Amino acid sequence: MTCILTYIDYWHFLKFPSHILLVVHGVIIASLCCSIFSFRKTAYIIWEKINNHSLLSNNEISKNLLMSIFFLLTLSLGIVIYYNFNFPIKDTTLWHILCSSSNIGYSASREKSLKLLNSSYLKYLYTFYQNTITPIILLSTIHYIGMIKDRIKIKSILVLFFICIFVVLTSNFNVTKSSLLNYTIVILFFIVWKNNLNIIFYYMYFPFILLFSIIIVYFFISQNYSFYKDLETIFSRIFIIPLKMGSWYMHYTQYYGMIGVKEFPKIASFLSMEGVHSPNVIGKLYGPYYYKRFVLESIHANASFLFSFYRAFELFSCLISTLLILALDLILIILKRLRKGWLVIALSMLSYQSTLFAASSYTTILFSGGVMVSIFLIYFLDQFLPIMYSFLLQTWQKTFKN
Amino acid sequence: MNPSFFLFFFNITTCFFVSCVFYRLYLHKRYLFVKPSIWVILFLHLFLEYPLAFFDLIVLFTDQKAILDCGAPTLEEIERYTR
Repeated sequence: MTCILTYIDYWHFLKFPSHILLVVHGVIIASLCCSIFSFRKTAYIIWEKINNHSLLSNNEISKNLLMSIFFLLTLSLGIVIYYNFNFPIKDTTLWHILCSSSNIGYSASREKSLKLLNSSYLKYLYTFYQNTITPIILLSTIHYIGMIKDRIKIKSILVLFFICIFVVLTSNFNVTKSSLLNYTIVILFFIVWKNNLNIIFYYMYFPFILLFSIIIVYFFISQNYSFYKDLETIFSRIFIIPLKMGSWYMHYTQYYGMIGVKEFPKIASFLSMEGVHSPNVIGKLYGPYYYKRFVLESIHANASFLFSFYRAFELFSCLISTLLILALDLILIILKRLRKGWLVIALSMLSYQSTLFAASSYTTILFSGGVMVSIFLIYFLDQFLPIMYSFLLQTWQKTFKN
Repeated sequence: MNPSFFLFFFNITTCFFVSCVFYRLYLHKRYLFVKPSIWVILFLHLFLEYPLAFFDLIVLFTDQKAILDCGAPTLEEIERYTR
């Protein structure tokens, strides 16, 4: 207990403890003050669009949603086949859990299934499938089912339900409990946005939440974990570890000094400098002390972007972090162009992805985490997919006529 | 003097102030929640700002001597341990 408290007792742990107060409170208050007064008009236009019930006919939106679900499903199938072509399905963690009684080598197999894949291209593609495509398919499906509630189509609902199970399972070959929880969170955000930010649960969404809960509980049981221990782990991962990791970054920076742009390996290599992979360096240094055992070589001690910027620029990072938080509002330019049906999905995705900012670096969430990718994908599905579809249909009809 | 009491008081007051601002926004300026920055700030507030205050509370209500005996690890200690 006392050693866990050591990191919590940041006043004695850090060389300059007041910096943690400045980085956390300073950035939050400064960015909140600026954010309230920026992009107000655009935000109001988007809000009005969500509340306007007569923007598009249900038929038009549902057709576009169905088209998008099948387009994304085709994309998913391609990614799954390509992934299994490179990494046999029998070596995945999901296979180990579902078909093998022992859970020996679970962590190693999890690392091999994603982090240690030979091809970085495949790694990014699978992360894109996991973080972007799957939630969008789930939300589109729920949105579509919500729209056809007047004329019951049991068969199509069943097909869509199986599509959901397929994408959830195949996007979790490496079995991360967090991604299953994230899908539940994104669905909850969708329900909240559908009700104009009023928290009302519609009875029809309960089966989905129940399904995810069952899957999560099944994974907990299959790994022989106790419920109490898992609950404690989840609580710790949400409320304690992000700040604790941050204190490691601050401790390391205060003893070794800031490293500037070397903190960002891609920018550093662009400037002909050697980058430092801080999550790995710090994880290997502090991890064994914290876990009281050796840690994997590929350990990633991810901390919030507030702390990774502190590692790069020390206190100057407060200004940079504030500006970067405000820069996120530029996404409103794209949101303004979206139609109502997709706007709710985009906002749900954004709300869920915002939770990741407390524990990951800025560029990771923006690109690998999927903020930019999901917004552009939704924009594509909303604006260009119908045009593409009608063009292909016309070409098809012309070919047959000739 | 134990700094944890003052730290806890400072942190929790700041948290309360920020929470009040969010509550006011939710009641009167709900349209601002379409902005990604507001959500990011909200989650930073929940996952970093509040735990920071509760870290002080834990330290305040636990045996200070035991914590200091365990000691915050120095960089040399960490390196020695990992080697």
